Amino acid sequence: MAPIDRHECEWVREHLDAFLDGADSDLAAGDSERVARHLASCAECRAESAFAQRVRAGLRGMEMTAAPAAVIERAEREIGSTRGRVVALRPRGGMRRWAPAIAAAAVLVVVATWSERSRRAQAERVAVEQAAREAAVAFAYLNKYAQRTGDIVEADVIGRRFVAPVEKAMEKTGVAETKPSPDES
Amino acid sequence: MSREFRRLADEHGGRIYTLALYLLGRREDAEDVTQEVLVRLWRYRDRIDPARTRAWVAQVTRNLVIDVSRQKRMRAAVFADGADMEETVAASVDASPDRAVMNGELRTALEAAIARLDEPYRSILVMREIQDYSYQEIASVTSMPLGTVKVYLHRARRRVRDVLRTGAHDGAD
Repeated sequence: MAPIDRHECEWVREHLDAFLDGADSDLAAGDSERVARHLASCAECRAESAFAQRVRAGLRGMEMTAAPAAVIERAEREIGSTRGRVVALRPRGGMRRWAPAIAAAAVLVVVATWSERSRRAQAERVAVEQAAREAAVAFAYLNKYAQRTGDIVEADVIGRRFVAPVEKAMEKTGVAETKPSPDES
Repeated sequence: MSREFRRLADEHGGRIYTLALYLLGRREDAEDVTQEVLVRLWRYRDRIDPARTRAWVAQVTRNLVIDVSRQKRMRAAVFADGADMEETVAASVDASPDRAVMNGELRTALEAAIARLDEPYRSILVMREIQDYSYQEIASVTSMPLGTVKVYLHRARRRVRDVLRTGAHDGAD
């Protein structure tokens, strides 16, 4: 009987899980054959492989726990009680992380409009349109992130918190007056 | 509303609750998280890509678990009754994993072993082995590259086997 190669045992155990992944395995064909060859000749590693398979089967046999009926009822009641009302922007978790970026976007819009104040009306219109596009991108990003985290950001809250102050600033600078009238556009 | 909400709750409620329960280890906290995720799922149901709903649900659950853990100043990966869990492992494994399998105590031993895993090992193991999430979905939920997910899963599996064998006390590396 050939002596056990401990280095080979270590290598095989390091790659055992990938080997047991079967169809999902990203083990190279040569490595897979190497593991199989070693298992055929090493009783200890064969036992380890059998144990690993049993643990996997045990884990996969663990059922998911159903959500308690009371929890589902509570969620249903909460949804019913908040239907139709405006949900405030919650400055927590991911939202808080993006607050500086949102503020920076708003400041950018205002600065961009101010810097254009002294230029001709046409140039101001271009700047305002560009600023509006940048703001739209920022808000779209914010909404996408909020959706990822499940935070609720209602459109009118965004309007009230971010768009309105920018518009107000634009009015103060006189930029808003340079916007094209419906007849012009 | 009621029927559609119930359908969503039936489809995803168990998945949410199970993940929250494994990650938090406290039933009341898991229930709160489940309620919140179900409410958010309902509010966002029209904006979520149906093919991504499972991943979305796991992602929001995990994020809320992290929030809850921070709020309660506890580690996400610690069972509140960790001492009891340690005794359970020692008793159920009894120095012989085979015996644990044979006498039907494997489930208890596995739960205790999972409770010993730190994050993100625990989330990844639970999502892959118990909840049957694909590697790709787990990568999306955890915002990790696919290869990193596989490495973490490999370490988590080895760690679970080590705990079952020895009842070791420290978390995954």
